[in-house]
Amino acid sequence: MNALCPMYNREREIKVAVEGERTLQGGGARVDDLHRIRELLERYLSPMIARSMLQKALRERNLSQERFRSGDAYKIASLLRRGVTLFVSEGDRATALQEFDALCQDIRPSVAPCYVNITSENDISVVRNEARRLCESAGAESYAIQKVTTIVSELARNIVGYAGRGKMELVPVTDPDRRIIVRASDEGKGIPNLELVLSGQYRSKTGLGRGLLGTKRLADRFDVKTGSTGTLVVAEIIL
Amino acid sequence: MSVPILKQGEILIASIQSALSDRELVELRDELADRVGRLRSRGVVIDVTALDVLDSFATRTIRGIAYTAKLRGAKTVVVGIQPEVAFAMVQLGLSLDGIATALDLEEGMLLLQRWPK
Repeated sequence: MNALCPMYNREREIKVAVEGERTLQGGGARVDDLHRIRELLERYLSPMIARSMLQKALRERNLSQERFRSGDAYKIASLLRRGVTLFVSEGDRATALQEFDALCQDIRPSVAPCYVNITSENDISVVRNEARRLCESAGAESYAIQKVTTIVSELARNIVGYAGRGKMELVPVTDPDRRIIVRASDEGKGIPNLELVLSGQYRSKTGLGRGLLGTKRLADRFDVKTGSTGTLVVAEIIL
Repeated sequence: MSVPILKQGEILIASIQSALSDRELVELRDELADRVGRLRSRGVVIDVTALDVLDSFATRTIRGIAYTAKLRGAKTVVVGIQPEVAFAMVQLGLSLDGIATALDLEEGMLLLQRWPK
């Protein structure tokens, strides 16, 4: 049977790995999280649907049992919520989602904030990569990651282009909703025509002006404080 | 030069392999403008599949490359903009107005070959 049906074979391997791993050292706690997700799914769904959902999520996140790290279970969980909404029968749905969210809360990794000094153009890609990494460990989906990295890129470029140097902070927050706060600060001369820039009427020679308006459009919350001693831009993106 | 530029017949293919710094993007523009003349190319394909972010600067530079090539007598097709990247560009209010785009390299080459001369 296994030889004829590779899919089935793979599913078995995952099952064996999930159960076998618990006794191993090190990986135990992490795979335990996966096991808990699986148990929860199987309580509300047929084993086959539960298994295929789990597999699909593993694939989508590019994860495998062998390289399972802490935080990975959470990445999968964020993909599985939709499946729970779709496949659990209407009567059980509310309870299932409640339990699922409680479990997610429990296995959520704590992601440390990140600080990058911006002093040259090269730091733009440095901070962009940091942003991507941070979003991924927070379990963000690709569109949210894209928003964050684009915003970070624009704000970092504004610092380099206008103030020369500055600081960027990326702070993951989970309460009340899961989001990332991006703070870009510099001690430059400030933005003299902020209202004009944010109105969309402004076209800078360098094209940099559009970045701030773009950031405002992409962000879920956005704030600028600017004066002759510096600028602080805060953008929040809900994950 | 960090972006390899391949020549296939009358078409130049610039395949951007990784996120580029601003300087590298500007270098690419200058290099392409030069080669279009030297190699008498009629078309340029810019493959941005590997770019994970197209922010306002990158978009503006790519637009610059396309317009420069046009003035030098070559048509430009931008290929491989990823779905997330496209989404962010729309939200950001960025556009590649007047510049041909195609899904991937293959489609882009076809588009250039079918273009009326």
